[in-house]
Amino acid sequence: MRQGADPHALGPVLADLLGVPVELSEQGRQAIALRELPNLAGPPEEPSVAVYLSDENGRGAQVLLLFPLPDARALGDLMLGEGAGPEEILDACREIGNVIAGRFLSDLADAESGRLTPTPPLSTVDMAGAVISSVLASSPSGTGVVSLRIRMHAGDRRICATLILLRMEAGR
Amino acid sequence: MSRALPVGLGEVRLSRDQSEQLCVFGLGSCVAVFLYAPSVQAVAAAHVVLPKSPQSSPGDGSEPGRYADRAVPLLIAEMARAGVPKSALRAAIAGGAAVLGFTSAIGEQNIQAVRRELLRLGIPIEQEDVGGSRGRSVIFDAGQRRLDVRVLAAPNVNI
Repeated sequence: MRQGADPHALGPVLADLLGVPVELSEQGRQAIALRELPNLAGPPEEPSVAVYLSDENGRGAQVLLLFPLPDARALGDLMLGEGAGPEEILDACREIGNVIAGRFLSDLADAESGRLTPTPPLSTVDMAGAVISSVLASSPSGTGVVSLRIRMHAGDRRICATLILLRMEAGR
Repeated sequence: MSRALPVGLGEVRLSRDQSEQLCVFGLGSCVAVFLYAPSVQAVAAAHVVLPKSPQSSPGDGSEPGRYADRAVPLLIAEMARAGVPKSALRAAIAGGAAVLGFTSAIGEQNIQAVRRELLRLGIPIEQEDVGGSRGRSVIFDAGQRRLDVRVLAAPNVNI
């Protein structure tokens, strides 16, 4: 499966949004078995902010980004200042998640000489395993999965997220 | 102290030890099914992902609990192997949430498929916590034969 964007290229885009220098790096990009997915972002019960985008044209491409709660709060502080409320933090994660996930979908489309139109982002706060397994259950049979750990160094903060890219394998 | 036995996606597990707990952590649209019987220590659990198995594929046996229509008969067979007749069985079920909104159809279909199979096979549901919009972790205590459900505490849900 093609694996989408180079996270480094997203740094300047996010720096504009956050107002501080941002450096992105990825760790552990890997194709994984579906059954391993629920444990991908840590323990399945890990409270996380999830941001989800898929292809509006239903071509089977989906991106799920999971921020552990402390990282989500750090992101909210960075974008909105200390003491941001829950809805504001969720909005911040949705906005950043939309940029990152949208870029992955867009680069995936470029790599495949196709066209993917991202849906508006859905977001929630819940157990990581519950979100991942729900996305997985809704995916068609034959879906391939690639996961990445994304680390953002924004100013003096370090924010981690797990990105999961799901894509129908060619020929299905 | 109780020993936790996790039941992963599509897995089926049997416990015959009253000090064990069968656990399904981070359950979203999936449904956890537990079969047990009064005064019997054996408990069988399945982590159901989808309502109905594809007709064209018998599966490779690696995820026997993946589909509701295969998982429930398999649980009955597991309990029979442990010496528990079908007539003594009771069920506890949990899960089937619409975690991200768009998964509502799958969660509800899973709930209905599990209920339908249990009804068809004559097994009453004694304990149930299904639907809603939040993920759950589900723990079935083999000794107490009791279903415990955890959701994120309010401070976490509200970030």
